[in-house]
Amino acid sequence: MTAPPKVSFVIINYNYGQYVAQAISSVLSQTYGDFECLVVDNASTDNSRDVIARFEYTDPRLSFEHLDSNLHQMGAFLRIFDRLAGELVCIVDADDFLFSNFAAFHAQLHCDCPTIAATSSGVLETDHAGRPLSSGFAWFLHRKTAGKSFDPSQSKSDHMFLGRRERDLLWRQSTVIEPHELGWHWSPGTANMYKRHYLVRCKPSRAVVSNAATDNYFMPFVHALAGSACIEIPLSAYRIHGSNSHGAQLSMPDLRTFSKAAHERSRARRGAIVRELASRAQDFVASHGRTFWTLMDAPSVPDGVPLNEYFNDPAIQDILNDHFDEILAACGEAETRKALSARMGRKGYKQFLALQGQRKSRSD
Amino acid sequence: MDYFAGGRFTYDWTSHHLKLWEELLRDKIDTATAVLEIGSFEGRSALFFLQFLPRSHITCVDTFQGSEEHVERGSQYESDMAEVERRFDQNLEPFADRVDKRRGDSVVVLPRLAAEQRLYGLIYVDGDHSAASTYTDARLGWDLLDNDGVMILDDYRWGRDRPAAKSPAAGMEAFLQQIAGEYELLHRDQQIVIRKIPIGETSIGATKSFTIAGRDIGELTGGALSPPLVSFVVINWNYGRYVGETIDSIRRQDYPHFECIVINNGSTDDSAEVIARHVEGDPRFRVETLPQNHGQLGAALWSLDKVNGGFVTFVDADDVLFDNYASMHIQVHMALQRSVGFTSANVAEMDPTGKALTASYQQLRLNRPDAQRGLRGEQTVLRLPTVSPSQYRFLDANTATIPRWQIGWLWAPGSANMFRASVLRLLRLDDGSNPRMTSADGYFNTICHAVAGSALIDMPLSGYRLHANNYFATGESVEGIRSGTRDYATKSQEFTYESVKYLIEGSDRFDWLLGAEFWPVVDRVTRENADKLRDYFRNESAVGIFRRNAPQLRSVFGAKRFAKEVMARFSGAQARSILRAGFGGQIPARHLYNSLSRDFRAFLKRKRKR
Repeated sequence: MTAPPKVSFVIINYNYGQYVAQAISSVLSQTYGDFECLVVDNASTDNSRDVIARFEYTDPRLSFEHLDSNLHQMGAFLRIFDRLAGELVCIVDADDFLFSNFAAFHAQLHCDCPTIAATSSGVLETDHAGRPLSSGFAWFLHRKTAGKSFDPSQSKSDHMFLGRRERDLLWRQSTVIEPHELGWHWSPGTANMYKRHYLVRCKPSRAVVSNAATDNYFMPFVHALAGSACIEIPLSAYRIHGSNSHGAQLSMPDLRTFSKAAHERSRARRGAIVRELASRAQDFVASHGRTFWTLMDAPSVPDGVPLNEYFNDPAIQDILNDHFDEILAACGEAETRKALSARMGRKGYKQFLALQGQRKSRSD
Repeated sequence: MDYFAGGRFTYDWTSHHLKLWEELLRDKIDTATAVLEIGSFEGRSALFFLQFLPRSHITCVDTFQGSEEHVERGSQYESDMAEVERRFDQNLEPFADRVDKRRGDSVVVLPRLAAEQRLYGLIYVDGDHSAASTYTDARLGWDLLDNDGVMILDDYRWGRDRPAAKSPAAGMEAFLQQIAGEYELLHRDQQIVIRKIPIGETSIGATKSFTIAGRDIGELTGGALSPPLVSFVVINWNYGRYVGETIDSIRRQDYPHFECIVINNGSTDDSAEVIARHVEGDPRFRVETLPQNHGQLGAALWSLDKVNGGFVTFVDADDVLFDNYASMHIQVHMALQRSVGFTSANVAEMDPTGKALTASYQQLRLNRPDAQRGLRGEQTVLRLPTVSPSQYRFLDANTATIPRWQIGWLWAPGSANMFRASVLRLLRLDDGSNPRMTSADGYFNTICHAVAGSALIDMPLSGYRLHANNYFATGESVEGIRSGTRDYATKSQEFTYESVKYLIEGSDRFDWLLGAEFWPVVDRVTRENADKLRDYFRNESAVGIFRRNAPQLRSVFGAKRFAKEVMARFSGAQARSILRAGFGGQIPARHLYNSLSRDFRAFLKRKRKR
């Protein structure tokens, strides 16, 4: 029997001095024993440092990193990524908190369902004081078009991190989603646990994504590589705070309760997935063969953007253009033409090539 | 075995139940010693009980005056009741020493049995079939039933074609709601059979704390998670004689996590003094005084800056909430398949004294197209300690989420509704600094539902007082809660133009929030069916709203979409006046042509019809 997987929690904090202590305490209260927790402060200007300092020397599983400038969530994560020792990784937003059974449920499912790249559990949306406002995040609960119920007979794991009844509950409430089922199926941020192996695989090599949210980049990406599973039990709290009228609203089905600006930002930033895939096309084709193009579709689907529109977006075409030689080397001319014509339309693809020719001659 | 050999009977309403009864009562053969029967008629069922349960004694309660269906002229069950009683006596003659016949009305006899401290192991309720009598018989009988005893309610499916008040089903359902958590359902078909759960048994597994997946939230979160906060807003205008009871009913909530703002809305009676007396000593209450009557909606809008809870109920100052009001509403909000704008529960109607419920209350209709029934699994939601497992199952079976495209009045009025505060704020008509002399539910229910959907809870959680001063003084509303007065209906319909105005004025914001749903929502807040919409928009106030906001609509939706949506609602000169305003005085030729040809086609169509 293999050792239970170690979990690495990363708490990335920027000016959440009033909440970060609860986030750290909630990690330390996990019933699952084998974990480490790295607290990263993104050059906060509030009392965060003092709050975090109170935890120093209290628990050997805790370590700390204080950054000199705000690298945003993704930048901070990439800065410390190589230090993580866990097989499983959970990035905790400093204003959220975990329930004490969080890691046990996630680790159990990762062991019972070893092929998947990530797990995602339900959240309770709460107000600033931790008072529940709803029983779940709308996108997680209401998009029940994908996935299959978990089949316990497939599980060969001997690990038991949960009592029998809780394991039964976990199995009953889990849905396994295949890699080709694209879309946003998950709870936000904190509620997700990745296999580190897949984070390594899609770690962005360029600094351009440093201001992205980690879940926005990693979840669709690792899912497209190996699939994911959802646990429909609330295992953490997602705090809705700030001025409650716009911007920060709890999620409602079929209402855009997030702001237009935030939506456009996250959509644009998700283009980083396309860049990563295109720039390392040979690498991904080697591992994923023809499904490479399904991977390329992954970032567009969560926003419901039609493929045709997405691949004719100048920003995406710029990315493809930058790495076109790499794509051709990976897929060959014929398959590239076929795949891109299917996405851009024949005419769109021709225009793209023409534009490409112009750029080439300009740079020559 | 033939239980009825040698008896004299005219009807047999009993034999087809015997198989069920034998099955359910088999383990009581040796233990059942006391049987109570409400409604004996010719004694057929009594004969069965006496013979199947050989050690039993039976108390038979019957007026022997017949109920409505027996004395109605020409009814298929018309009977000579004196003859019925003679047959009863004769049929039971062989068992005379085991029969205690109580001739009289059950509402008189049952309390007398209670005074005699009788307890029964089996109670059969088969008396008068009106909802009120069935409810009363069952409720009074329940107190006479021993722990672990069985109660059989007959004729659950009888008279489904009759008004709710005249058939037993509504009464039985009300009764079962009352005793939720105290019984186990053994059978439900033509008869309902329940077992009384001993008090010790119900508390097994019950905890004092909120739980998720069976774990105490204290253990899960070390205090980081606290219970949802409810805000009650009592809006009182000159209801000094009722508001005290309203406040008391809030103080009695079994869910302690609430705040209550009592707004004395420009009252000129003794309200201030009554309110002060009733809120005294409870720090959860705050009193706010408005110098003039702000109207109910005005006060509700005004209060939104002052509430801290995630959930809000505007309480009419002449209503009372039942003790489990907040528990049930919050549990449903926490457990629905999808979040909704508000939940709405049944109301029980009360007479002006508040002492007696008129057993006829209107039930919400759950079986609507696309309604989603039920709650999520008990293990996967925040569970309240004040809602027992059997009550949760009851809520699960009696809750429906209604999609937002359903139009019309679907809910119970006023106090019966618990809103999500964030949705109220999202749709806050104004800051309440000006009076709005209209009802809060008339505005908020319609628009919150159109935007965010709603859920119905088929369980009475508050009492609605019928008295001369409220809008619905026309009597018990058996046929429709909103039957109301004509005056009220007109007034509330007029107010829908305010909702349209609010959405159209905020089209830039709502276009983003609602996406493709923006125009359907505008149509839905009118409460009109699709074929009546053109008539609705023909009203000059609608034209004015669109005309004033035409430039903004055009910039938000683009010229083409703007012209299309205007022409979908307005015709002729009205349409063109709005288009003209949107296009800065000059309608582009294409849109002008479309508008004129649309009118022409409509003209031809009318002519053809003639």
